[in-house]
Amino acid sequence: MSKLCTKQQFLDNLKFRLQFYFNNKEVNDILTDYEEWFENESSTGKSEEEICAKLGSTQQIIGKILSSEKTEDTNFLLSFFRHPAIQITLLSIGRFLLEFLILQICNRNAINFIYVSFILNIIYFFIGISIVKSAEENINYPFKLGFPLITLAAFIALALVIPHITYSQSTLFHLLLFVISETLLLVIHFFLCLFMFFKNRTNTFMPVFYTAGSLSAILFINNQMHMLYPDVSSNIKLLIGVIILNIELLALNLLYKKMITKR
Amino acid sequence: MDAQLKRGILNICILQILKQGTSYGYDIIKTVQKYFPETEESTIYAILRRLNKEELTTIEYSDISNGPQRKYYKLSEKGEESLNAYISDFIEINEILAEIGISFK
Repeated sequence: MSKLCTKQQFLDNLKFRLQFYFNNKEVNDILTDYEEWFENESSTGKSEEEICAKLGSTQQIIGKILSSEKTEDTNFLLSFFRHPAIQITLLSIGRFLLEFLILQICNRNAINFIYVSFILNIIYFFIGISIVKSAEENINYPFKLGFPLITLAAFIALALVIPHITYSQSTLFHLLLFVISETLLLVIHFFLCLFMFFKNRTNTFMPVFYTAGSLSAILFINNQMHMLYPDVSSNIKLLIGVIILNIELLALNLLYKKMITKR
Repeated sequence: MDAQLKRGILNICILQILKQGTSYGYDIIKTVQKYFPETEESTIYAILRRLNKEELTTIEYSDISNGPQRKYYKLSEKGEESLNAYISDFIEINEILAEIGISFK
Protein backbone atom coordinates (compact mmCIF):
# COMPACT_ATOMS: atom_id res chain seq x y z
CA MET A 1 0.00 0.00 0.00
CA SER A 2 2.78 2.38 0.86
CA LYS A 3 4.63 1.79 -2.41
CA LEU A 4 3.31 3.85 -5.27
CA CYS A 5 -0.14 5.11 -4.56
CA THR A 6 -2.17 7.87 -6.08
CA LYS A 7 -5.31 9.48 -4.73
CA GLN A 8 -7.44 7.72 -7.33
CA GLN A 9 -5.91 4.32 -6.57
CA PHE A 10 -6.46 4.83 -2.88
CA LEU A 11 -10.08 5.88 -3.30
CA ASP A 12 -10.80 3.06 -5.76
CA ASN A 13 -9.32 0.53 -3.40
CA LEU A 14 -11.22 1.94 -0.45
CA LYS A 15 -14.45 1.92 -2.41
CA PHE A 16 -13.97 -1.67 -3.52
CA ARG A 17 -13.47 -2.80 0.08
CA LEU A 18 -16.23 -0.62 1.51
CA GLN A 19 -18.77 -2.12 -0.84
CA PHE A 20 -18.52 -5.36 1.09
CA TYR A 21 -19.89 -3.77 4.23
CA PHE A 22 -21.88 -0.68 3.40
CA ASN A 23 -24.64 0.38 1.11
CA ASN A 24 -24.09 2.78 -1.69
CA LYS A 25 -25.06 5.91 0.22
CA GLU A 26 -22.69 5.16 3.09
CA VAL A 27 -19.85 4.22 0.76
CA ASN A 28 -20.12 7.60 -0.94
CA ASP A 29 -20.36 9.31 2.41
CA ILE A 30 -17.12 7.76 3.64
CA LEU A 31 -15.40 8.41 0.34
CA THR A 32 -16.34 12.09 0.59
CA ASP A 33 -14.42 12.27 3.87
CA TYR A 34 -11.26 10.89 2.34
CA GLU A 35 -11.60 12.97 -0.80
CA GLU A 36 -11.81 15.99 1.48
CA TRP A 37 -8.70 14.84 3.27
CA PHE A 38 -6.71 14.47 0.06
CA GLU A 39 -7.96 17.79 -1.23
CA ASN A 40 -6.94 19.69 1.89
CA GLU A 41 -3.67 17.89 2.49
CA SER A 42 -2.47 18.35 -1.07
CA SER A 43 -3.21 22.07 -0.83
CA THR A 44 -0.60 22.22 1.94
CA GLY A 45 1.96 20.91 -0.54
CA LYS A 46 2.03 17.22 0.30
CA SER A 47 2.28 14.71 -2.53
CA GLU A 48 -0.45 12.13 -3.04
CA GLU A 49 2.01 9.38 -2.13
CA GLU A 50 2.87 10.99 1.18
CA ILE A 51 -0.79 11.39 2.04
CA CYS A 52 -1.49 7.76 1.14
CA ALA A 53 1.40 6.51 3.23
CA LYS A 54 0.21 8.48 6.22
CA LEU A 55 -3.37 7.27 5.91
CA GLY A 56 -2.28 3.67 6.19
CA SER A 57 -3.97 0.70 4.56
CA THR A 58 -7.58 0.82 3.49
CA GLN A 59 -8.12 -2.41 5.39
CA GLN A 60 -7.17 -0.70 8.65
CA ILE A 61 -9.45 2.21 7.92
CA ILE A 62 -12.42 -0.06 7.39
CA GLY A 63 -11.50 -2.01 10.51
CA LYS A 64 -11.70 1.22 12.49
CA ILE A 65 -15.06 2.18 11.07
CA LEU A 66 -16.48 -1.27 11.73
CA SER A 67 -15.15 -1.49 15.26
CA SER A 68 -16.57 1.92 16.18
CA GLU A 69 -19.99 0.88 14.90
CA LYS A 70 -20.77 -2.36 16.56
CA THR A 71 -24.29 -2.36 15.18
CA GLU A 72 -22.98 -3.03 11.70
CA ASP A 73 -23.33 -6.61 10.57
CA THR A 74 -19.88 -7.92 9.86
CA ASN A 75 -20.84 -11.44 8.93
CA PHE A 76 -18.45 -12.23 6.12
CA LEU A 77 -20.83 -14.41 4.13
CA LEU A 78 -23.49 -11.72 4.13
CA SER A 79 -21.06 -8.98 3.26
CA PHE A 80 -19.71 -11.20 0.51
CA PHE A 81 -23.04 -11.30 -1.31
CA ARG A 82 -23.63 -7.61 -0.79
CA HIS A 83 -20.81 -6.73 -3.13
CA PRO A 84 -21.99 -5.83 -6.63
CA ALA A 85 -19.05 -7.57 -8.27
CA ILE A 86 -20.08 -10.83 -6.61
CA GLN A 87 -23.72 -10.32 -7.50
CA ILE A 88 -22.93 -9.85 -11.16
CA THR A 89 -20.63 -12.86 -11.25
CA LEU A 90 -23.40 -15.02 -9.82
CA LEU A 91 -25.80 -13.52 -12.34
CA SER A 92 -23.46 -14.47 -15.17
CA ILE A 93 -23.02 -18.02 -13.94
CA GLY A 94 -26.78 -18.32 -13.54
CA ARG A 95 -27.31 -17.05 -17.05
CA PHE A 96 -24.85 -19.48 -18.53
CA LEU A 97 -26.41 -22.46 -16.76
CA LEU A 98 -29.92 -21.40 -17.69
CA GLU A 99 -29.01 -20.97 -21.35
CA PHE A 100 -27.32 -24.32 -21.38
CA LEU A 101 -30.48 -25.88 -19.97
CA ILE A 102 -32.67 -24.11 -22.52
CA LEU A 103 -30.37 -25.24 -25.28
CA GLN A 104 -30.92 -28.82 -24.20
CA ILE A 105 -34.67 -28.31 -24.16
CA CYS A 106 -34.69 -26.57 -27.54
CA ASN A 107 -32.42 -29.13 -29.10
CA ARG A 108 -35.06 -30.48 -31.46
CA ASN A 109 -35.76 -27.14 -32.97
CA ALA A 110 -32.74 -25.11 -32.04
CA ILE A 111 -33.95 -21.98 -33.74
CA ASN A 112 -36.18 -21.36 -30.73
CA PHE A 113 -33.06 -21.02 -28.63
CA ILE A 114 -32.11 -17.85 -30.41
CA TYR A 115 -35.42 -16.21 -29.69
CA VAL A 116 -35.51 -17.38 -26.10
CA SER A 117 -32.03 -16.01 -25.50
CA PHE A 118 -33.09 -12.79 -27.17
CA ILE A 119 -35.68 -12.28 -24.43
CA LEU A 120 -33.38 -13.60 -21.70
CA ASN A 121 -30.75 -11.14 -22.82
CA ILE A 122 -33.05 -8.20 -22.26
CA ILE A 123 -34.14 -9.46 -18.84
CA TYR A 124 -30.54 -10.04 -17.80
CA PHE A 125 -29.59 -6.66 -19.12
CA PHE A 126 -31.99 -4.86 -16.83
CA ILE A 127 -31.05 -6.95 -13.80
CA GLY A 128 -27.42 -6.16 -14.55
CA ILE A 129 -28.14 -2.48 -14.98
CA SER A 130 -30.00 -2.33 -11.69
CA ILE A 131 -27.05 -3.87 -9.87
CA VAL A 132 -24.64 -1.51 -11.57
CA LYS A 133 -26.91 1.45 -10.85
CA SER A 134 -27.14 0.50 -7.20
CA ALA A 135 -23.37 0.57 -7.14
CA GLU A 136 -23.40 3.88 -9.01
CA GLU A 137 -20.31 3.05 -10.90
CA ASN A 138 -18.71 5.66 -12.99
CA ILE A 139 -17.42 3.36 -15.62
CA ASN A 140 -14.58 4.14 -17.95
CA TYR A 141 -15.27 1.95 -20.90
CA PRO A 142 -12.17 1.28 -22.95
CA PHE A 143 -12.18 0.76 -26.76
CA LYS A 144 -15.30 2.83 -26.95
CA LEU A 145 -15.93 2.26 -30.64
CA GLY A 146 -13.68 -0.70 -31.33
CA PHE A 147 -15.98 -3.37 -30.08
CA PRO A 148 -19.19 -2.36 -31.86
CA LEU A 149 -17.25 -1.68 -35.06
CA ILE A 150 -15.63 -5.11 -35.19
CA THR A 151 -18.93 -6.91 -34.77
CA LEU A 152 -20.65 -4.62 -37.20
CA ALA A 153 -17.92 -5.25 -39.78
CA ALA A 154 -18.30 -9.00 -39.32
CA PHE A 155 -21.99 -8.77 -40.11
CA ILE A 156 -21.65 -6.44 -43.04
CA ALA A 157 -19.15 -8.89 -44.49
CA LEU A 158 -21.62 -11.67 -43.85
CA ALA A 159 -24.43 -9.81 -45.57
CA LEU A 160 -22.25 -9.06 -48.60
CA VAL A 161 -20.95 -12.59 -48.95
CA ILE A 162 -24.18 -14.51 -48.51
CA PRO A 163 -25.79 -13.77 -51.90
CA HIS A 164 -22.69 -15.03 -53.66
CA ILE A 165 -22.46 -18.49 -52.23
CA THR A 166 -24.36 -21.52 -53.38
CA TYR A 167 -26.82 -23.20 -51.13
CA SER A 168 -24.69 -26.28 -50.52
CA GLN A 169 -21.95 -24.11 -49.09
CA SER A 170 -24.13 -21.72 -47.24
CA THR A 171 -24.87 -23.47 -43.97
CA LEU A 172 -21.33 -24.29 -43.09
CA PHE A 173 -20.11 -21.03 -44.44
CA HIS A 174 -22.30 -18.70 -42.44
CA LEU A 175 -21.95 -20.80 -39.32
CA LEU A 176 -18.20 -20.55 -39.72
CA LEU A 177 -18.39 -16.79 -40.08
CA PHE A 178 -20.63 -16.63 -37.09
CA VAL A 179 -18.25 -18.69 -34.99
CA ILE A 180 -15.42 -16.38 -35.96
CA SER A 181 -17.32 -13.26 -35.02
CA GLU A 182 -18.58 -14.77 -31.79
CA THR A 183 -15.10 -15.91 -30.83
CA LEU A 184 -13.88 -12.43 -31.54
CA LEU A 185 -16.61 -11.06 -29.29
CA LEU A 186 -15.69 -13.48 -26.56
CA VAL A 187 -11.99 -12.63 -26.72
CA ILE A 188 -12.67 -8.90 -26.68
CA HIS A 189 -14.98 -9.21 -23.73
CA PHE A 190 -12.56 -11.40 -21.90
CA PHE A 191 -9.82 -8.82 -22.21
CA LEU A 192 -12.27 -6.09 -21.33
CA CYS A 193 -13.03 -7.96 -18.11
CA LEU A 194 -9.37 -8.30 -17.22
CA PHE A 195 -8.63 -4.72 -18.16
CA MET A 196 -11.47 -3.34 -16.08
CA PHE A 197 -10.73 -5.55 -13.15
CA PHE A 198 -7.17 -4.35 -12.88
CA LYS A 199 -7.94 -0.76 -13.66
CA ASN A 200 -11.16 -0.02 -11.84
CA ARG A 201 -11.58 -3.10 -9.70
CA THR A 202 -15.34 -2.98 -9.49
CA ASN A 203 -16.23 -2.13 -13.04
CA THR A 204 -16.23 -5.66 -14.32
CA PHE A 205 -19.98 -6.21 -14.29
CA MET A 206 -21.21 -5.85 -17.81
CA PRO A 207 -18.28 -7.43 -19.64
CA VAL A 208 -18.56 -10.54 -17.48
CA PHE A 209 -22.22 -10.64 -18.31
CA TYR A 210 -21.59 -10.28 -22.03
CA THR A 211 -18.88 -12.89 -21.98
CA ALA A 212 -21.42 -15.33 -20.60
CA GLY A 213 -23.73 -14.28 -23.43
CA SER A 214 -21.11 -14.83 -26.10
CA LEU A 215 -20.21 -18.16 -24.56
CA SER A 216 -23.78 -19.35 -24.81
CA ALA A 217 -23.90 -18.25 -28.44
CA ILE A 218 -20.81 -20.29 -29.18
CA LEU A 219 -22.36 -23.18 -27.36
CA PHE A 220 -25.35 -22.84 -29.62
CA ILE A 221 -23.27 -22.79 -32.77
CA ASN A 222 -21.33 -25.80 -31.62
CA ASN A 223 -24.64 -27.52 -31.18
CA GLN A 224 -25.73 -26.48 -34.67
CA MET A 225 -22.57 -27.39 -36.52
CA HIS A 226 -23.40 -31.03 -37.00
CA MET A 227 -26.93 -30.62 -38.28
CA LEU A 228 -27.73 -29.21 -41.67
CA TYR A 229 -31.11 -27.71 -42.22
CA PRO A 230 -32.99 -29.28 -45.10
CA ASP A 231 -34.14 -26.14 -46.84
CA VAL A 232 -33.14 -22.58 -47.58
CA SER A 233 -35.92 -20.97 -45.55
CA SER A 234 -34.78 -22.70 -42.36
CA ASN A 235 -31.28 -21.48 -42.99
CA ILE A 236 -32.47 -17.95 -43.55
CA LYS A 237 -34.54 -18.10 -40.38
CA LEU A 238 -31.48 -19.19 -38.45
CA LEU A 239 -29.33 -16.49 -39.97
CA ILE A 240 -31.88 -13.76 -39.26
CA GLY A 241 -32.21 -14.91 -35.67
CA VAL A 242 -28.46 -14.85 -35.22
CA ILE A 243 -28.20 -11.38 -36.70
CA ILE A 244 -31.03 -10.09 -34.51
CA LEU A 245 -29.33 -11.55 -31.46
CA ASN A 246 -26.10 -9.78 -32.27
CA ILE A 247 -27.73 -6.48 -33.09
CA GLU A 248 -29.51 -6.76 -29.77
CA LEU A 249 -26.21 -7.38 -27.98
CA LEU A 250 -24.75 -4.32 -29.66
CA ALA A 251 -27.76 -2.17 -28.88
CA LEU A 252 -27.78 -3.22 -25.23
CA ASN A 253 -24.07 -2.60 -25.08
CA LEU A 254 -24.47 0.94 -26.37
CA LEU A 255 -27.45 1.57 -24.10
CA TYR A 256 -25.42 0.32 -21.18
CA LYS A 257 -22.59 2.69 -21.88
CA LYS A 258 -25.02 5.56 -22.23
CA MET A 259 -26.77 4.78 -18.95
CA ILE A 260 -23.53 4.35 -17.08
CA THR A 261 -21.55 7.29 -18.34
CA LYS A 262 -24.45 9.67 -17.69
CA ARG A 263 -24.12 9.98 -13.95
CA MET B 1 -2.39 6.33 26.32
CA ASP B 2 -4.83 3.51 26.83
CA ALA B 3 -6.96 3.12 23.70
CA GLN B 4 -10.25 2.91 25.55
CA LEU B 5 -9.48 5.98 27.64
CA LYS B 6 -8.28 7.88 24.61
CA ARG B 7 -11.39 7.15 22.65
CA GLY B 8 -13.52 8.59 25.44
CA ILE B 9 -11.39 11.70 25.65
CA LEU B 10 -11.42 12.20 21.88
CA ASN B 11 -15.21 12.04 22.04
CA ILE B 12 -15.37 14.92 24.50
CA CYS B 13 -12.77 16.94 22.65
CA ILE B 14 -14.61 16.66 19.35
CA LEU B 15 -17.93 17.53 20.95
CA GLN B 16 -16.29 20.53 22.62
CA ILE B 17 -14.74 21.68 19.33
CA LEU B 18 -18.14 21.50 17.72
CA LYS B 19 -19.72 23.38 20.59
CA GLN B 20 -17.52 26.33 19.69
CA GLY B 21 -18.98 26.39 16.20
CA THR B 22 -19.72 24.30 13.11
CA SER B 23 -16.66 22.86 11.51
CA TYR B 24 -15.73 20.44 8.77
CA GLY B 25 -13.82 17.18 8.98
CA TYR B 26 -10.40 18.38 7.98
CA ASP B 27 -10.40 21.30 10.43
CA ILE B 28 -11.63 19.11 13.28
CA ILE B 29 -8.89 16.57 12.60
CA LYS B 30 -6.19 19.23 12.45
CA THR B 31 -7.36 20.70 15.75
CA VAL B 32 -7.42 17.31 17.46
CA GLN B 33 -4.02 16.39 16.04
CA LYS B 34 -2.58 19.58 17.48
CA TYR B 35 -3.21 18.17 20.96
CA PHE B 36 -2.97 14.46 20.16
CA PRO B 37 -0.41 14.21 17.33
CA GLU B 38 -0.45 10.42 17.42
CA THR B 39 -4.11 10.23 16.44
CA GLU B 40 -4.69 8.95 12.94
CA GLU B 41 -7.12 10.78 10.71
CA SER B 42 -9.04 7.60 10.00
CA THR B 43 -9.75 7.21 13.72
CA ILE B 44 -11.27 10.66 13.89
CA TYR B 45 -13.28 10.19 10.71
CA ALA B 46 -14.67 7.00 12.24
CA ILE B 47 -15.59 8.86 15.45
CA LEU B 48 -17.25 11.65 13.48
CA ARG B 49 -19.25 9.05 11.61
CA ARG B 50 -20.40 7.39 14.81
CA LEU B 51 -21.28 10.68 16.50
CA ASN B 52 -23.45 11.48 13.54
CA LYS B 53 -25.06 8.04 13.62
CA GLU B 54 -25.90 8.54 17.28
CA GLU B 55 -27.45 11.89 16.30
CA LEU B 56 -25.07 13.87 18.47
CA THR B 57 -24.21 15.95 15.42
CA THR B 58 -26.00 17.06 12.30
CA ILE B 59 -24.40 17.44 8.91
CA GLU B 60 -24.83 20.26 6.46
CA TYR B 61 -23.48 19.92 2.98
CA SER B 62 -22.05 22.79 1.07
CA ASP B 63 -20.91 22.78 -2.50
CA ILE B 64 -17.63 24.33 -3.38
CA SER B 65 -17.29 25.30 -7.01
CA ASN B 66 -14.55 22.75 -7.60
CA GLY B 67 -13.69 19.75 -5.50
CA PRO B 68 -15.83 17.47 -3.38
CA GLN B 69 -18.82 18.46 -1.28
CA ARG B 70 -17.84 19.72 2.11
CA LYS B 71 -19.49 18.24 5.17
CA TYR B 72 -20.06 20.66 8.00
CA TYR B 73 -20.67 19.10 11.39
CA LYS B 74 -22.91 20.87 13.87
CA LEU B 75 -23.54 19.91 17.47
CA SER B 76 -27.12 18.83 18.00
CA GLU B 77 -29.15 19.33 21.14
CA LYS B 78 -28.60 15.69 21.99
CA GLY B 79 -24.88 16.23 21.44
CA GLU B 80 -24.82 19.12 23.85
CA GLU B 81 -26.57 17.05 26.50
CA SER B 82 -24.07 14.27 25.92
CA LEU B 83 -21.15 16.68 26.27
CA ASN B 84 -22.56 18.04 29.53
CA ALA B 85 -22.99 14.50 30.83
CA TYR B 86 -19.38 13.70 29.93
CA ILE B 87 -18.14 16.84 31.66
CA SER B 88 -20.03 16.14 34.88
CA ASP B 89 -18.69 12.58 34.78
CA PHE B 90 -15.18 13.95 34.58
CA ILE B 91 -15.75 16.39 37.43
CA GLU B 92 -17.00 13.50 39.53
CA ILE B 93 -13.99 11.34 38.63
CA ASN B 94 -11.72 14.25 39.43
CA GLU B 95 -13.26 14.62 42.90
CA ILE B 96 -12.98 10.92 43.58
CA LEU B 97 -9.33 10.86 42.49
CA ALA B 98 -8.56 13.90 44.63
CA GLU B 99 -10.18 12.25 47.64
CA ILE B 100 -8.13 9.09 47.11
CA GLY B 101 -5.02 11.21 46.95
CA ILE B 102 -4.23 11.72 43.28
CA SER B 103 -3.75 15.36 42.64
CA PHE B 104 -3.39 16.93 39.21
CA LYS B 105 -1.52 19.92 40.50
